[in-house]
Amino acid sequence: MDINALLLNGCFALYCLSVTLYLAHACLRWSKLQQLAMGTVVLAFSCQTLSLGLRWFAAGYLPVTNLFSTVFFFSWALGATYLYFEWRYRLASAGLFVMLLNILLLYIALPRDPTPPALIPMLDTPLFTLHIACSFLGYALFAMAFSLAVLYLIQRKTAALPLPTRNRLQQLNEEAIFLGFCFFTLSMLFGSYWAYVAWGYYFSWDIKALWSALIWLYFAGMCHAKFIRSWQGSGYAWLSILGFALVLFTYLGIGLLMKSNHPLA
Amino acid sequence: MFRQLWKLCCSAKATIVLTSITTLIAVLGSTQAMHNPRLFNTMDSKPLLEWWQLYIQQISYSTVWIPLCSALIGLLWFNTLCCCIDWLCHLRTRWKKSGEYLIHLGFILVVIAYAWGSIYGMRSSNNSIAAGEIIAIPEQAGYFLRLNSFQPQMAPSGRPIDMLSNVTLLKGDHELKTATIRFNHPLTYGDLIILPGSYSQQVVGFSCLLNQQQVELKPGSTIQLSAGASLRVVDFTPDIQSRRGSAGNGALRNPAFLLELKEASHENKSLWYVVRRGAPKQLVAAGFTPQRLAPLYTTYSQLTINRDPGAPLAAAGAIAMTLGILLSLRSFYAKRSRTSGNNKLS
Repeated sequence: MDINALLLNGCFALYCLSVTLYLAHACLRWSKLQQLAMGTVVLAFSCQTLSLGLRWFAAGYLPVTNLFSTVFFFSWALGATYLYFEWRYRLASAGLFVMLLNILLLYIALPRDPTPPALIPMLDTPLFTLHIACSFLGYALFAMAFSLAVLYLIQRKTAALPLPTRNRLQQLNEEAIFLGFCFFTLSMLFGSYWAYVAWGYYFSWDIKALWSALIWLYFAGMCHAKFIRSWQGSGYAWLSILGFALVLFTYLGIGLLMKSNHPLA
Repeated sequence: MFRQLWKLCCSAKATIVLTSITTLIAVLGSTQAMHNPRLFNTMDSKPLLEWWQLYIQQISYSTVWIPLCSALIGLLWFNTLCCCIDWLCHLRTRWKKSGEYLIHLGFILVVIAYAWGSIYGMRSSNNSIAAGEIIAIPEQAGYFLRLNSFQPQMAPSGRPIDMLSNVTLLKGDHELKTATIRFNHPLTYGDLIILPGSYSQQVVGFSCLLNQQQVELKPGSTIQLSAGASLRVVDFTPDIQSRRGSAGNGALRNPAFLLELKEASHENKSLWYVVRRGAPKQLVAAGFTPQRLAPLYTTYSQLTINRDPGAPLAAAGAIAMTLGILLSLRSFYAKRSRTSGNNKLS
């Protein structure tokens, strides 16, 4: 087994272990279990980062040109997002849902061929790397907002889980949406500039580009919704869930169900 | 009354309603693209207004969402403009929100730029040009493009992966700019952008053996025949049928040459030489008996030439948005650090 396969399987196993530890913490409420779970996530993320770095070094470009590598990068961005929130706010059991999502992404990625294909000249530009990196960081933050929104709705129903307060969850959700919107805006700007130099127009009516613009518009609206009292609380949580559904459909649904000319559809 | 109207125009609620409705309509409308790909796949080939005018006969209920969304984006643009004006009026108290309003300003500029480009822009693809040729830039009187050289790049599998075209943009006889264009490296001049699109090969004539000598029959070439006669190739067509009225696509079907025979004692004669039928008797009598004919190919670079007068404004909008994002992030974290005492969750 080569080092990359070892790192890939290792990070998957460690993320699975972290979920088990978070579950145990949710049931038993031993603070040591939470620390252990957090340590496992850090270790898993380190393996994932090392694997990404090695594949980047070997390929000579950020390997995000096939389904394996985009899902893997999405999972890496989700890990980074989770660690950022954990480091800043100590999310406790809130990590459970994000890690479950991460495991699901790795479960989709791992059976696929990890060998990056030869880079075609069309994708050989820093604009592509910036577009993809910002896009997946945005997606990861929207996924984080989705997890926080689900937790907010659970918190309303039950106090059985050791979760942050509802106000805190709402605040963190708003932060995830705002940061996601910032990264997604940058992704759209880099993508538009790349489209202009590659095809001669900065907005395409291709279905994936159109849906990306709609996601941007939707989350722009959400950034305003936090100022409206009647849209706060459950309404905002449901909007976050709907927003993530739009993101998932744009990322996976369009490629699988519709025909798109987008380079990575 | 006016104050209430102004509040409505600037309200965040109006923004949310407009963005939600636009998203919903566009999501539902764009699913029509699946059912009518032939129509929707052409949308990028023309500026939006030109596309709309061109395909207006085909436009049915499945495209109603496009003008509807355009109108809603127009309203959203107006709402954002009002917000910006309101912010400027209260700048002294709201300067900390500069980042957020720069994003608003960026959106305003990008919408104007797109509308401008959709109305006054031009898109032209598959402009075929061979090395050494000059073509006129479509809808740009006095502007020309010369292809100096063309080199396709092939993958080991033989698949073309890039196309290097060295081109010069001319205004009359004056050279404006020379560049080698390839993927992601276009030639830009003002609002004009020239990119590689594709390339093709076309038959421009034939090579043959004539009196044991290899000669090339292509427009412009002259061949010396016996007894002082000469033959000039005036024109070549890969399909004589298409020249006589039926549609052709440049494929080699029934090739023919228009030749001019010059003999010392006679007047010049124009004759058609249809390759499949063989040379006419008069040409054979003059010594024209070509053998082992093989087609001569030339490679054409197919360039995309677009003009978008809104592009510089869109770039300004993008810069405003990027600055807005950076300032918003800074003010967001500054605000968070002020309230950092509450950050750690128990």
